[in-house]
Amino acid sequence: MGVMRIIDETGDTMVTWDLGDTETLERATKLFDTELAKGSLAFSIPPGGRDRDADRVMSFDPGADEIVWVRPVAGG
Amino acid sequence: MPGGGDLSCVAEAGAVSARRPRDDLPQQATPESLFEVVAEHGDGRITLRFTSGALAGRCVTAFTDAQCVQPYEPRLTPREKAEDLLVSLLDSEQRLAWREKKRFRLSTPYGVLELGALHNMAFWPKGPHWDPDRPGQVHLCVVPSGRIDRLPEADIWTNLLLVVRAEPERFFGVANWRAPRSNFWYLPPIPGLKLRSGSVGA
Repeated sequence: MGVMRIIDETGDTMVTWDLGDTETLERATKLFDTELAKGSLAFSIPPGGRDRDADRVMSFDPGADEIVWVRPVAGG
Repeated sequence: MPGGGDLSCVAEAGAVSARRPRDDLPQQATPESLFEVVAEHGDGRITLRFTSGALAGRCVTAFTDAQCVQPYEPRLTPREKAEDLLVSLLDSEQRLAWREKKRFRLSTPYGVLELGALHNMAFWPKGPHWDPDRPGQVHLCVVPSGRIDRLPEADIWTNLLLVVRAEPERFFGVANWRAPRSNFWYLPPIPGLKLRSGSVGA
């Protein structure tokens, strides 16, 4: 089972999917595309991985363990 | 597969309910209602759709007895959730620093960055991408785009941490900066920092 975490004012919104569950897969794929269209940045974190293991991803990988969505950055 | 029966433990929309009766649900909906199985999940859960009664057309997911008696995990506050996510990404040294000082450092291809002071991150540039004749420390201001006042603080650092780790050119390319003893902030580029070209995406 994979999980997407979208950071927001609730801490993060978590959405899970199961490779054997078409409905959750479709929901996760749609959410990925929606966040990408918003300009958010997705990082795939391997199991037990740290920040240095994070990889920027541009398409939904159902085999991913954890995907964390963050915002683009700007000078403050 | 039409069926009917006694659902001892039912969750709707993923929220686990307790075993106690729900007074706010129409009582005629269960157990008299008929339902059909619409999905059988690999972990033993079954999603059902009511075919009659007050809940006709609505779906619920039924858990196994074993899943029902799993220890209750209290809901985390936004701050706690954000803290958990950030800490999960840090190594042991960074975790210790974060817990003690609410700051932690990381090495980047352009030098050492300290995260934890919003709008005022210390940065010690070094390495082949830095002009050694420049001062050895600057302060940077980089934030997640959009409103950040409602974001838990740890989420802000998770955001910046992931971006600077995976795409340091993106991070340093937008950083406003100031000298350590100056109150004047300057727009990028950071003088002396030679960002690798062509590596900053949209």
